[in-house]
Amino acid sequence: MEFERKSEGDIELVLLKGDMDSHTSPKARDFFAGVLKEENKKLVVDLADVKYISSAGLATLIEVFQKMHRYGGFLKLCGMNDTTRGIFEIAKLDSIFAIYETRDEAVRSFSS
Amino acid sequence: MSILEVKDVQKVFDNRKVLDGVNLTVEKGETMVIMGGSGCGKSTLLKIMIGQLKPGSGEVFIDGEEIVHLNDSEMDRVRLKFGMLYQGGALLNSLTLAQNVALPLTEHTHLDKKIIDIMVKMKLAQVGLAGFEKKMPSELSGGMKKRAALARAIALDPSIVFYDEPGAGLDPIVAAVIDRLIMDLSKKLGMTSVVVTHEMKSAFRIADKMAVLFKGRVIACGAPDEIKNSANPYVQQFIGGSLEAASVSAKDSTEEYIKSLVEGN
Repeated sequence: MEFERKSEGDIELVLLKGDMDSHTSPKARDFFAGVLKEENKKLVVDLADVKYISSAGLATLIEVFQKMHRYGGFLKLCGMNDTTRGIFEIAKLDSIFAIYETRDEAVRSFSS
Repeated sequence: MSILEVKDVQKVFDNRKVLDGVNLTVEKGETMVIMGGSGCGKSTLLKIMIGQLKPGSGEVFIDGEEIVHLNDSEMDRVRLKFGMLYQGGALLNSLTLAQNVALPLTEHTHLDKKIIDIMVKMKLAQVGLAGFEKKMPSELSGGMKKRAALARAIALDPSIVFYDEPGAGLDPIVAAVIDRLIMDLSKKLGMTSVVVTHEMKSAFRIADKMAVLFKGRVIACGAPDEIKNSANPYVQQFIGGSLEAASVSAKDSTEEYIKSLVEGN
């Protein structure tokens, strides 16, 4: 699993690449721990290059959401394929996360 | 490539051929329902498909890997690819629901406890048991136990889930809830389901494909409509639940009984 990090103003962008399963999600967890150390208030995670996300991957994103929520930050997700969206739906997570089609939409939502 | 393939599987118990050359193919994401009356061999077939029992001859492929000749440790690795919902649920009564669901995760992954706790909540929510983490199995109804057992069966995100009589012992409404869960897992997560049942209503509700087992052989296999329109008289008797179907089995078992007395088996 690969991670790419960018900034657009005060918005932090994270691009995930590869499968996010029980083997790779601990690595993602460590990566996000580093990102959240700075207590960024606005974070967009782009899942366009994630083909498969397991329950362990979802739990990792929920933990990011929980940590940000605790310090008053906002996590937005974008770029999900249909399978990933189905996984979010069946886990009833589509009501917890702010989910956008594209990265631009997710970024713009912070200014609206 | 098929996710599950059974090739010419035979099994004999005490000189009685329980499975007599069973062939079955299940595609990825498909819900295959295996039906048949009592003693037709469907439970034996299920045990062979999950590696609990070795066939006398034949092959079983799970995700392209032949499992009949695997040793126990190799089979444990393959078992991570599938979940199993047992008829009675098989929850550990001394553990809470959360501990039951967490069991495969702590056994087979190196995930942090915090992540496992979140996953357990998600799995229980998926089966409609959000907030039941601290309950003991003894505090639950039959349907709830079965849902909790399903949460445990899918804890490791298996590609295939095997179900042994998922509606057994449940009232029709609760059984329909379990059917809905099976369908959701299949349609939304792309999980493959292999369901052994004799309950017609449930079978026709959930199946993409059905196989009817009779005297250890698959006598019909196809989409629900094909099974409904099958020309095979036993299939028609079985799905119609007619007395004649029962009498066929009764006659056979009487013949076997007489034969066993005569031959002293």
